[in-house]
Amino acid sequence: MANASLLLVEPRPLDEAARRSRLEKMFRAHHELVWRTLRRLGLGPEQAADAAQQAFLIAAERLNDIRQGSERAFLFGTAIRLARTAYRSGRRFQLEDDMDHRADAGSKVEELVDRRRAVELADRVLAQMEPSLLTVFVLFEIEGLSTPEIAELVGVPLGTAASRLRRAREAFRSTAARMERTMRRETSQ
Amino acid sequence: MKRLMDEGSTSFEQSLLSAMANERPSPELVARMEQGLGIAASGGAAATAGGVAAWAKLAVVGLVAAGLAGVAAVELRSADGPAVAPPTVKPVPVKVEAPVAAAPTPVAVTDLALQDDPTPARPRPAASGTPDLREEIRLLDQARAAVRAGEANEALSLLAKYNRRYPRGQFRQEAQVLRVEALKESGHEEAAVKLGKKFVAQHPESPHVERVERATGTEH
Repeated sequence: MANASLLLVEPRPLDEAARRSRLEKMFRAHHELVWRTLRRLGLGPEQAADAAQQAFLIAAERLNDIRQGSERAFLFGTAIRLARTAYRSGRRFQLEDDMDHRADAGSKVEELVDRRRAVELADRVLAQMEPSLLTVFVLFEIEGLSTPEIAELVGVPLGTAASRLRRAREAFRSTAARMERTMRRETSQ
Repeated sequence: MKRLMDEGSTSFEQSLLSAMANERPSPELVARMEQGLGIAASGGAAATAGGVAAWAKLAVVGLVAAGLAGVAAVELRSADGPAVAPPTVKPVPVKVEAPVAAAPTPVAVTDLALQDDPTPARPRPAASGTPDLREEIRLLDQARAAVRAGEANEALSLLAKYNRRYPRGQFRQEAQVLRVEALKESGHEEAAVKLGKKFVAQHPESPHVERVERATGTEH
């Protein structure tokens, strides 16, 4: 009888351990891209960490529904929804006040400053972009997703995703060019 | 279609794209996420006991988080739910100003803001998987959102409520860190530094130490 009881209760902790292990693997594999996507979609470093944590908590809740191999797509989709929520509630980050993320230990100070400056400038360019274009641009240009993957994630036809991407690239290039001209003018004065 | 990085972009565009693609969360932020998720710290071999305990809470936390994904934070903030605090708990005199969007308004800070463990008349145990845990998380999420939105008074009020309801709460450290940030935000620099130092003295190994020190400008 004792053995029978063990058989009845044992699967539950094992199941929990397996779930925990899967979540941990997901976190190790994808936390950087989830955080980075949230950053590019307008959240500050700490907000992005909070939202990324929420994305993984949601994944933990839905582990049974996430097919093996589609973890990344699930997390991207969740991150996009969380970013939209933050955007709607007006909690977009303050660029100047929220640049306190740190680079890897051991980086040279000059490199760190340059990298931070470049990220800050890039975010200024992205801040000019309409949210629907921004999402497509970030997923394609920064995270390397294909247009069919993006169309599925965002829930639009392939043609719409491609057209948004074209418009987003035009917007990015035009704002970046304006910014570069301004910087050159300021440097030469 | 090729990526801009791989075709005819200017060097300025390339440097912007490359900077964005290579940005990573700081080790501190990664540690914070790991702690929140109850998984082993990167580099660590096995999950800690705390990590296992935190995992046990995930089902509940996940439900709350799932709710967060579906609704705007604004709705969450206004949905203050039914009052569950025991009627015997004495109200804390934290003055709550109307939320101000831009400049933070000074708030009347009582000594409670500096207490990390006030004792109410009837402490409520917060057991895993109970509605209390959900409420605990909801209150902290609201306080965090208020701090991030610059609504320090609202954050302090919510954190005072958290302390009253959950003197033995699961997320007391996080609440204390948020309180430091809210005090700083509301212009009470001295109180923020004092509470921050107290936190670091009490929890020198906490992953929140850097965040507290950064908030109070006492980084080494």
